[in-house]
Amino acid sequence: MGSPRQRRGKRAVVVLYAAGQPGSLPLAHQSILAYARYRYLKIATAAVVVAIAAYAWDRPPNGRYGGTWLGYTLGTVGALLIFWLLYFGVRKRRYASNAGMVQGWLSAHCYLGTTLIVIVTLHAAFKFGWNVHTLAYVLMLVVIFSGFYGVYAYLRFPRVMTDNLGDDTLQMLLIRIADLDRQSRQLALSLPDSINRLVLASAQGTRIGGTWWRQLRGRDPHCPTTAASNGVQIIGRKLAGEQAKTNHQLYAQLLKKQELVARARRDVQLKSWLDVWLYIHVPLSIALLVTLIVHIVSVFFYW
Amino acid sequence: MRILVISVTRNRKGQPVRAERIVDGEMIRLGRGTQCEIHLPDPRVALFHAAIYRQGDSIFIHAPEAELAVDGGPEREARLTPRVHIALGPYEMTVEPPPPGCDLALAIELVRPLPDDLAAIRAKSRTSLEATVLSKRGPAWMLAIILGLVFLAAPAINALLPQLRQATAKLPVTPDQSWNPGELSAGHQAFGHQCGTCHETPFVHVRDHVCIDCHVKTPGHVQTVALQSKLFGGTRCANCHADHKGADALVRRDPDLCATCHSDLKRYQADTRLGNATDFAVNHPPFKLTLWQGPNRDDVARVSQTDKAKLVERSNLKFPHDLHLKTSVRGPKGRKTLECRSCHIPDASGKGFEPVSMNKACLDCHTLEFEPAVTTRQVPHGSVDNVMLTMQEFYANIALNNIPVDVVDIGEIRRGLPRLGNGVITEQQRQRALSWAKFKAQQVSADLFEARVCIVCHEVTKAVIQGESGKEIAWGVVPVHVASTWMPKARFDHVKHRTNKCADCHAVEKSHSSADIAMPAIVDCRACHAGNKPAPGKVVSTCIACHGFHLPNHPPFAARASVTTNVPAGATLAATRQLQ
Repeated sequence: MGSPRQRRGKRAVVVLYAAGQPGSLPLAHQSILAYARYRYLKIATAAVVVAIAAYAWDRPPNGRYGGTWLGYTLGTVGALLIFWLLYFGVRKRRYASNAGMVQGWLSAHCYLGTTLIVIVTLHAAFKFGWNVHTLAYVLMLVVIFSGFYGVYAYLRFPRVMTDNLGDDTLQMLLIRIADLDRQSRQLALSLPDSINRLVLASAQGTRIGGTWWRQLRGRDPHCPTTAASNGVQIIGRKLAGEQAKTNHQLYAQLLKKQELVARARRDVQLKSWLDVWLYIHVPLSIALLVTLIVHIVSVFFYW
Repeated sequence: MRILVISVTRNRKGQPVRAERIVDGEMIRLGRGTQCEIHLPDPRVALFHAAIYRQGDSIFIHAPEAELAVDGGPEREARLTPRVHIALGPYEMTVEPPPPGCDLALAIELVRPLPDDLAAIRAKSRTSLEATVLSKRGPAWMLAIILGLVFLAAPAINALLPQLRQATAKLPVTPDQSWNPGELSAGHQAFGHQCGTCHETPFVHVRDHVCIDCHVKTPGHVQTVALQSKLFGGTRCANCHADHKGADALVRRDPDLCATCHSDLKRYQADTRLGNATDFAVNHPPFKLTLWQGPNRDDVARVSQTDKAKLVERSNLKFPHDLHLKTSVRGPKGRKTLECRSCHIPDASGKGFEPVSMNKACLDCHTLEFEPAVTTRQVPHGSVDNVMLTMQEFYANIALNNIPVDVVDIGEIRRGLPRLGNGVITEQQRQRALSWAKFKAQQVSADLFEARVCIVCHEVTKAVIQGESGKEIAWGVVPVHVASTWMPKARFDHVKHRTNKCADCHAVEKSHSSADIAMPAIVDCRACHAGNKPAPGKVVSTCIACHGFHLPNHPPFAARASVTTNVPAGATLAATRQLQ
């Protein structure tokens, strides 16, 4: 059976394997939130309950604030948690490490990160102001809430992406689009110049994704492929005979391309939705780290 | 027209490979369309792009709707002579010298082939946010550096360089303002932007001398410096007075602080005479009154209200409240009903009362007439000497000026008065008159002090002394000690209690002696005042409602620094811990 650590590792691999094959095992639907039967939800809940109970029980003589014994305790716990959660960013890059599954770390990251809302608010004893201490608090909340979006995104978008792509991948879509372009160009060679220009523009001008804004938006309002399929249809009405037949084939191909382009763009869009929060979460985590250090240093600098 | 068309392609090494064919016709068409004699299968070429035709001896190329580039210049038409280069879409055509039998030789090469479709679409498409301008590392570094500089480096450098600190103190916002965790107390806000005023040394607690530099006269808590040092030697001012908690949050109001010691005072001071107190409602000793014992001004005793035998006021004043509070008291100006405020006039603050003054409160009824026949003249209240002098002056005036003193005088006053002749009086006559006046004053004073006036309110003493003209009686009045407060250890605000009647707390209506003390007992206060916890119909009253920590007339904490005491380290430490 191996060591307990190895056993955990094997089980987790099964989880991951099963996750790729829906319905094959009861473990298949286990998300990061449900990891290890909600182990970290239980730990987080216990931590929150203990913190609230301690806060309610404690009646410090100078009033509740960060500088009481409980305040220092909650602050220390909060700071250690933040350091540990930041370490996740380092940890998840070390795939060789076997200090626990990345999935487990992520589950803990989500739940224990959420407890900070309570622990740090109680540490601050609901006292806020225009200072670096509240700045650290606000940064922490932005990081946490961006993380909430991240959890939502991780739970929701992969499935939508699978629905969108089916058995394809983005690369396969691009290959098929390129193939359609080649065929379309070939068909258009014998068609009027106006159609040929549209087809050429569709092949040369169509782009998937683009700027971050276009990726998030998921569509191109000036898409040459859409313009081509519309144009080909309109211009094609004037054609007759062999050209009309060719044009009809071309139109069918352009429509197919349009559908592939839309799917590819949707895939890029979903991927950007899946990733965009990290551009807030990560830089603000670093900002939080710095502000947290400033907070701790300043408090003891002017003790 | 016979044209040799040479299709030029490139092999793997990039060397040209020429494939020749002959095209015949009156007009040779070039285009994408398959019907063209020279077929150029590229979408960038028009369906029918150009035509080659002969005109006279020359051969021309003409592009009716498309464009050509002839030797680099855009043209619609060109004459085809050897070495002419024509660009037609992605194709380049070069006119070569025609071989025998041909009118024209045209080498055609696709010089700009279409890029690979897949590579092209891949090159154009950015399919991940990583490939855009968005970055995680860049903003992270930027934020880290900006935040570190603004919120750590700038305040720290400012704090560590005194000269810089002085310079920045004049700015509306100092670099370390962002470190301020909360609003300062109202009194400290004036220098609040200069953190270094209190926070002298980095990473060291604010030290007491910083507080005492300004609050030098703030009294301590206990009466002796030695005991104060013993009990509070290890306690910092900031242990109780934590600032940055709002404008009015510097003073601790929690009863628990007091209870840390006052729950078991003997633990800290075995011979204390103070009772323990933790909660006014349930654990507070009976009130103690400060009663003057005499003879010196500071000879006072603290007497518990439960010690009834010792609850005696020694004011040396005779004042029965019961007589004065009767309705319709008879006075010299008619009948009058007195109220408390007739004599007890609130002071300017309203919290207490002005001292009851004979002149303001009593003189209306208790006139100080000395000569029954002359009701308009009174002796002054106060000094016995002044009283005697006033009377002597009165009688001397009568004697020397021969004044008719009163319409009702029936000769009593003047009995024994030597007769003076009209005009200039002799020295002998003057001496006689003065002697009479002095005698008369002595005579009346006995009545004044002993029988009729002074004795009514005061303890009067009498001594025989040797005067200028023989033995005289020297009258004396025992000094009066009317207490202004019986509970100096507590604060009491009469304004806050004005919804009550005086009699609710001070039962004086039946008091017939000034020895009685009409101060309310703790049970009376408890009727309205709850302790630390709320109670129905009562006011929550913690220790600080009546008591202060820094007690007037106690030595200041500043004094403790100069005192060395043999205090067990453990005791101080324990007290300090509890305070924290």
